[in-house]
Amino acid sequence: MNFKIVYKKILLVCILALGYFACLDEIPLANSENTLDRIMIRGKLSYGTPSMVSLAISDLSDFSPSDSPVPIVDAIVLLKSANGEAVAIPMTTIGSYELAIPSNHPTMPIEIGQSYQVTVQLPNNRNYESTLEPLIGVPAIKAVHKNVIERPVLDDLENIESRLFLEITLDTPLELPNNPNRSFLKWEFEGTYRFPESAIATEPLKPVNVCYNFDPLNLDKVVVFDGNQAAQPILNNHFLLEEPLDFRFYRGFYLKIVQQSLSEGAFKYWKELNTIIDRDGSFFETLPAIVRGNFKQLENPAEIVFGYFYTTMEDSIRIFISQDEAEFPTPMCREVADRETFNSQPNLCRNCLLKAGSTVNKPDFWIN
Amino acid sequence: MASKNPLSILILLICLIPFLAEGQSILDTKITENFQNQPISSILEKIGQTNQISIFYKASALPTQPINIAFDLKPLSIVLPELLKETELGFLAYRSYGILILPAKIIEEGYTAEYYQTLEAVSTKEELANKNTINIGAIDNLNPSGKAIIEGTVQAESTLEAIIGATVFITDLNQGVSTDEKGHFRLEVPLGEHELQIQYLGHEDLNQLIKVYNNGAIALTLSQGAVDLDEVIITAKTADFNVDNAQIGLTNIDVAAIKKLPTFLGETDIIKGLLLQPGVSTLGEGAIGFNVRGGAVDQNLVIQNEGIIFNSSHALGFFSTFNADLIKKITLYKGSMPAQYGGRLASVLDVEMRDGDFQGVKVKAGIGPVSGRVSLEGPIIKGKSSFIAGFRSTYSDWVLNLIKVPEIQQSTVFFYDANLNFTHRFNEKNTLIFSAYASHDNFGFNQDFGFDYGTKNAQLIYKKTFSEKLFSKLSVGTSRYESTQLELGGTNASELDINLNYYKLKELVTFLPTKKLSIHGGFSSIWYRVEPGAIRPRGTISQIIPKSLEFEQSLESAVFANADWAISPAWLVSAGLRLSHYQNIGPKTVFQYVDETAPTLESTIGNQRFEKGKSIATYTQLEPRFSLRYRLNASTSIKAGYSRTAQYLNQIFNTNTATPSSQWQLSNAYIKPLRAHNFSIGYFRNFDNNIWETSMETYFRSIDPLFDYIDFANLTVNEQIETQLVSGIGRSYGLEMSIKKTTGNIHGALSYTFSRSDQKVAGINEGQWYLSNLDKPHDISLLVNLQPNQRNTFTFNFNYASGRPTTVPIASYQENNGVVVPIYSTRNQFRIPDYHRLDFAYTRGKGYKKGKKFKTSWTFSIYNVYGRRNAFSVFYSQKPFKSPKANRLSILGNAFPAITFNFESI
Repeated sequence: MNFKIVYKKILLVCILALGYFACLDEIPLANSENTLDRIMIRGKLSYGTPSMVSLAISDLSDFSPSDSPVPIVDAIVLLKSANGEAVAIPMTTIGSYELAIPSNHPTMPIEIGQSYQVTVQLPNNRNYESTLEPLIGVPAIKAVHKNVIERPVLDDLENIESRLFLEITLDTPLELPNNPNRSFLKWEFEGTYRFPESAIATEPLKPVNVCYNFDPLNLDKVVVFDGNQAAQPILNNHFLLEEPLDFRFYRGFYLKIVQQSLSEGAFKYWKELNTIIDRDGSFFETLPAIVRGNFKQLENPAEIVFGYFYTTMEDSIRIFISQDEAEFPTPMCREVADRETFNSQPNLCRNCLLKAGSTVNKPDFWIN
Repeated sequence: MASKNPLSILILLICLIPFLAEGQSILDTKITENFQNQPISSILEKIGQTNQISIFYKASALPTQPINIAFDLKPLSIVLPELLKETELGFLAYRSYGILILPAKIIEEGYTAEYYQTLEAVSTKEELANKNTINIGAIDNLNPSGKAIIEGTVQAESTLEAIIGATVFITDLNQGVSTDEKGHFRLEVPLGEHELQIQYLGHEDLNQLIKVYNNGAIALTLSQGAVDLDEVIITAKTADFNVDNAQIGLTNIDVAAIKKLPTFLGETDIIKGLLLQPGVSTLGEGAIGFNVRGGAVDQNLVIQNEGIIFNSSHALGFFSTFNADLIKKITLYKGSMPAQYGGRLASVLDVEMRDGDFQGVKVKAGIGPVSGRVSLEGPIIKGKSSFIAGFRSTYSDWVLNLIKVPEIQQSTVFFYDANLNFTHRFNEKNTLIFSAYASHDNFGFNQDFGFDYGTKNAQLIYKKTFSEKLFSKLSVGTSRYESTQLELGGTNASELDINLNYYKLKELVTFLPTKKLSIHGGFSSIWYRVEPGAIRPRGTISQIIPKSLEFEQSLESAVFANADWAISPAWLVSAGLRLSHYQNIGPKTVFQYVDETAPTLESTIGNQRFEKGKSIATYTQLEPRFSLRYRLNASTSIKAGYSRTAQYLNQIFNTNTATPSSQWQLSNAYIKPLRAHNFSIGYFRNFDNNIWETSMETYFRSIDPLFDYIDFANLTVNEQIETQLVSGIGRSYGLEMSIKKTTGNIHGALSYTFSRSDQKVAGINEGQWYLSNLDKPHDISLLVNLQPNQRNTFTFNFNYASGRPTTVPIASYQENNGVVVPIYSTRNQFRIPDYHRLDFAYTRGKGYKKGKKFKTSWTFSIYNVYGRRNAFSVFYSQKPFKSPKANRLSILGNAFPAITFNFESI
């Protein structure tokens, strides 16, 4: 036997076999029916003019494709300050309770430095109460940087290709003026893009809509930062977000970055939330657990109540990414197509309003 | 004919013996001589020459002063007493050929009939003068009983190391024994000539003629044989070792067999070989280390030439740190361990490196798809000093580039390890060994994060034999394990260092007062210095605040004694006692809490400073060890064992497996030592002359206390680490069964393990018992070796194991920003899918031929033949408006073929 030849052949087989290496796939969900008779209360008091307080109450949904949470209606919800002031928060939609509180509200002034909580009385007379959350000012965003980077990714056919991404980094102080305390910060993102329907070249009279879509971004991550862990009182070039430069950037893209202040308790909640949301099953992953919120049931303090009520002040910035900045991405729909191409495109290309969150009303901030 | 050389007396005696056969009448020979001023030796010589009589004597035994004496026709029977009257010598005539001058005492005691038969027998052999014949005892000191006890040792010619399990067979008596763990054997044989046949795998048979005159010792050496040298290295047990030894839970790992196992990417892996043993498991492919009977990775004491190895894995956990080419012996103690071992709860893995060749230089090398290795050994002073050095390294990045995952393509894996062993034998009783080991790993993932870690250790071992019954082994050693965890980008870019140093002193004395009793005793002391965490920024934009925790130090000492007593052929007891003493020592600032039994951040009330050398916490533990064997018959035994174990050094991690940078934590005022009771009982039976070995063992271990972690514990550079831990109790129990065919063209092993492991910790799962991460109820492994001839070996290996417990989401809710939040079950309520895998290997080795200077072999292997995507973990994800998903992460989700070329000089 000529081992040199055999070795070469075997090595080739080895290389080919390794080429098919794949390590992540989807499997059926475990039989994980929700056996918890628990509720979720989440809420937020956002300082502003006016300040907004919102709360949602529901039961929990199974971790399955077919279930959705049942909102709890007719609860009595109060916003209370540490000084004892209180205001009722009415239900505005099913299971959702909201109230705009103007800065000159006679009985419930919303002030930076003050602490607030909510209480909830359910129709079954169970009473819940959040901890007092201090309302803390937020440092103003100093600058946002956008960079286009290129890196390899797997395409749908599991081939590696190089793609462009928009990388967003931010500069922000971590302290408020005249306040040496470091901030706990959280960021949320919203993208708005223009999405024109296709026109048919041979039928120029057909009306063509231009839709504007609003998409929350980065929903599989929670981006937070503890200012006490920073060496300097200012954060420079802090990575926030990476988005693929796809069809959304074809006709311009507005990215809104919202910087929120958090209390230490709220920061801990969101940080733990990120641990269980952003998972990859690797060696280095912290073991999952239940994230505990800041509500307790007054009649039964041992009951685990999911969700968190937090207070925040927000600063936001919106930046525009032009088509050329995005290096001319490929559109989903041809702006002008022949009939055959027109028909072969996704329905969205013929009716852009089919896309969730779409509107034909041009947003005020869209400047061209 | 006479000799004045005392050293050659025995040879001369042998020459004489044929003449002895003939005559009683020689003493009637008449002597007429006048000797003036001559020594007795001259007189005897003259008498011999004149009368053609052979007179043999030791010249040194005769007085040298000259005498005057005359004889006139006096018979020799009168002449000789007159000549020797002033000495303590007598004489003995045999047949008509000659006269022996011997000590009178011997002659007076008289000889038995066997003596004469012996003398007769040996005298008839023509090759009596053959210089290869070994004489045991002296012909002038024959054992009157007609029998003698031969004690001997068998050692390898090249390494001068004792060979364990060699067969020593007396062909003419059809009687044989095996050498023990020191290479010793003992035989009682009739006086006379016998042929010894010594056999051991991988060595040339030795046929040795011996002439036995009295009790005596014999040293035999075997030269390397015509089969694979690898097979020589380890079969460190006697044929019925599994039935005969008293230590339950003891496994001697056959390195030669491990080398034949299918490998992952061609790298022989000792740890993967261990996983075939019942009761030994792993959390998954790529996980660091191994788990024994439900014990965590850090509950195994891993020793290599007396040096403690704190991370036995390369490339995270894909390869082990042991270089199989350099290993002499691997011993695994599961649960029940002798008193000389301590400091861990679950097991001891004792790896002994082999000495270098004392006779000639040898090279061994191998090259595979991702790694290469080379070792060199040889004498420094021939027969007295030798060295062996080995080096392994990887070049695996090309494999990563083949994997169609961009993040992996941009990753790097590199490791090396190096071993050096220097042995110097001052003489038969004094040996000095210097052993050093260094390893380094560098792992980078997608330019996101990485690990940089390594071990350096060195040991000096001095072995002394005071007598045949008293031995000593003194070792001193030091080690440093360094790890750096790297965050490579952004404002979190950082380097986290965690290091562990120790200095160790150990003395082990072995006393063998009788053949039935052996006593091991001694002391050990380890000085630990742990650097539990120092983090520093990396790069220019990093916002990480440098922080360094104060180092911690402790002294762990123990005195121990263990006795192995063969009460009767059936009963064998191994009983020991270990008294361990542990001190956590300053300087250190220790936080104080309202409730010191349950420290929390919120209950911190202050701190206390302990200056250098001041004791912070002290623990003493009495650790009895006991193991019993009752032999039902020659092939069957029952064993039982109990051990109390304590552990003062733990690895802290709240991840699926330990990482290279998981912190080593010394017991202190708040973190108490882990303690366990280990019980086991087993039934062992061999069949067909030990060709088939079967065993069944059941065990139970209770641990009190053990530690788990609070949810989302912060374990990184945390000066109040005790607030992140919660204590509780644990237990594991199981049944291990195995059947093994040890020899033959088809051999292998089948083992099944049923094991459970759970724990109860305040604050977790409402204080109820819950499954530990290591609970894997069913584990089966099947190993089949087909060896139609010496050159070709086919090996199949199949493993099946229950999926390990995991925590899964059972509900969810949506946050106000749209994020879907999963709600997890109580801890470890579900299991990941079961694991199974088939591996195959084919080894083609070129047989050894006399005259050739080297031999080569090829190994072709496929790991995970049918490409099973075994889950390392299952994790869940759900995005807004999309269905939740369960994702299976398979670390090695495909078949991995590999080919390895091995080279070895003879």
